[in-house]
Amino acid sequence: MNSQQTVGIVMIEDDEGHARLIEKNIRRAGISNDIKHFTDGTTALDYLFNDPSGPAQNGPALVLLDLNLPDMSGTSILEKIKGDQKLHRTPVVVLTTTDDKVEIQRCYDLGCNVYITKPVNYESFADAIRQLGLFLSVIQVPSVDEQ
Amino acid sequence: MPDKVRERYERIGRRRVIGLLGIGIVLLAIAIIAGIVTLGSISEDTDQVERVMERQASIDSLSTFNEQIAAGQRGFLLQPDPDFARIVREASADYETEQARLDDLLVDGGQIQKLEQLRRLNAERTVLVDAMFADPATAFLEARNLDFSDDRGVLITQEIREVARSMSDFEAEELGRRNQAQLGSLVQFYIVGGVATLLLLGVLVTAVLVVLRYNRELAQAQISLREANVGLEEAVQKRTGELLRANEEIQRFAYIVSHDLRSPLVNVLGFTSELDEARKTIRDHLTELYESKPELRNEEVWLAVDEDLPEALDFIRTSTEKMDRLINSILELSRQGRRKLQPEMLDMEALTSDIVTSLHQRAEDAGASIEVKAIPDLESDRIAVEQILQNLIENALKYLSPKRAGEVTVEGSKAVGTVRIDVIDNGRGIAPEDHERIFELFRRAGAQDQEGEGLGLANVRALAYRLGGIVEVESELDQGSRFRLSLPSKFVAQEALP
Repeated sequence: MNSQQTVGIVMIEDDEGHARLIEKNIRRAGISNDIKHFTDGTTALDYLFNDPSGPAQNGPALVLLDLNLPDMSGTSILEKIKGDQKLHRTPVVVLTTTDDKVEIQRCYDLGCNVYITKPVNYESFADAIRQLGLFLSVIQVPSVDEQ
Repeated sequence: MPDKVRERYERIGRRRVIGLLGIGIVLLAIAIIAGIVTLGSISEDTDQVERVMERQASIDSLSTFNEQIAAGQRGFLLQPDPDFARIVREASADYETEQARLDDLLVDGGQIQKLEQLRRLNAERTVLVDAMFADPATAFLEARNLDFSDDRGVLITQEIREVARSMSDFEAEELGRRNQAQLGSLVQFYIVGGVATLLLLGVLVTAVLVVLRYNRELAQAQISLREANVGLEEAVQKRTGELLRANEEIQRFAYIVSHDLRSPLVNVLGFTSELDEARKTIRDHLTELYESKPELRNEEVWLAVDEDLPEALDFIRTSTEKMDRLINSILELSRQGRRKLQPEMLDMEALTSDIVTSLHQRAEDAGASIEVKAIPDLESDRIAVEQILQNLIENALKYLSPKRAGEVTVEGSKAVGTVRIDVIDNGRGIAPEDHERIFELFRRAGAQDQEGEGLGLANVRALAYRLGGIVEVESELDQGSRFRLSLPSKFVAQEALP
């Protein structure tokens, strides 16, 4: 589990409540990775690309992305991550309320790795996040340097 | 309304045409009558002229025979030749015949009197001639001695000549008069005929002018009609475009609203659950505490944790879940409204049978039978038609009457450009005052003993409208229902204008 410990989770989610619920359930699934939470796209992008402790400069990361953000669309963040030389292998999990088929398709086209619709029903929601946690505990995230 | 206008115009046109026709017919009749009258008078005149000429000829013949008799008489007196006697006799006989003929011909009283005079004179001469032939010798002697101008025979001849001439003159005058009358008749004929012809020409010209003007008005009307039509088409197209745009906007609005409403719901439900978890923790702790230290037991605190809080949380959850279902329904509706329709030829019987097969289990559970009869094929969007029929048949199975075994029939029929599909059941029926309500979003009717959000029929109607059709209901409480879906047999996609 040593390698997972170093993978930081970057959560870009404008709804504080959602963020809290996601974090709670990830923790319940037994994932103790560091979670960085951003409520808008601009600061999130700034962290991803420019922060010394961010994934572009330092170590692998996994991105949890909401599509409805106040300052920009989540898809444009996805586009930027997948279009970047250093970050394009970073796994992106889109976690959003939108279950529009066109939107889902568009996200996968842009290179999103997992698309999860937030169920309103809390049990399903908690279940989905816990499974995501399980998923996170087994996947291998490539290091940015291993290009 | 357009019928009335058309009738009025037709009546005006008809009145004009009939009026002109009437005038034309009257004029023609006048011309014909005038022609007949004048022709009659002309032929009568001609007749009269002929008769006058006949009479003249007869009078002339009389004169001639008179002269012949006189000449024969003189010849016989000069030379008692039997030839002369024969000439006289023959001429005398001819004279008599001619006289009888003239008698038939004459009409005028004066002429008849003159003829009478002639007859008398001739009779007198006949006596003289007979005497002469009976006793030629005495006659010769008398003739020698007699002054020629005193001779009775000569005088008679002269008199006859005079009378005949006067008769002839009279007839000549008559002829002149008749000719004049004939000429007058002819002139009259030409005048009447000419006037009638002129009037007819006038009517003809007027008729032609009326027709031309009518045509011009008609052409004008057609042009303005075409313009109006083009304008109307544009207006309709514009309005359709606006409607489609408005519809799209509503769909988009519904989508955004329902979508954005879900986010807070996630929180409400999520934290309600979290609250419940926290409550359980507290409750567990209290249970432990009260068991170990019963003297600390506070009923109010216990009730709050054990009853009040779970009740409140439960209400929050059920309400929120209901809200979520409603929002999902709107989302679903808007999603269907945004779907692009793809018309294709549909084998309706196969399509309906597939739906019925998929509902087999549910029908069995409800103890109902479903029968699919003949349904004409149509060209439309498969998914939308399937959804509509599925919904209607599901409803039929859902709202059965507990009093009798369910029977659902699906049958089709064809009208002009339309295919009708009826879903008929013998279920619990719908009260007439609810017939409109059931198609409204989130509205239901009758006993609320079945699950549902009041969405199905709203969706059915929205889909039917989108397909260019309608859905109607015929039902009475406890008498079963008939839902009729009428769709165009060939769907033409109407998309919003750019």
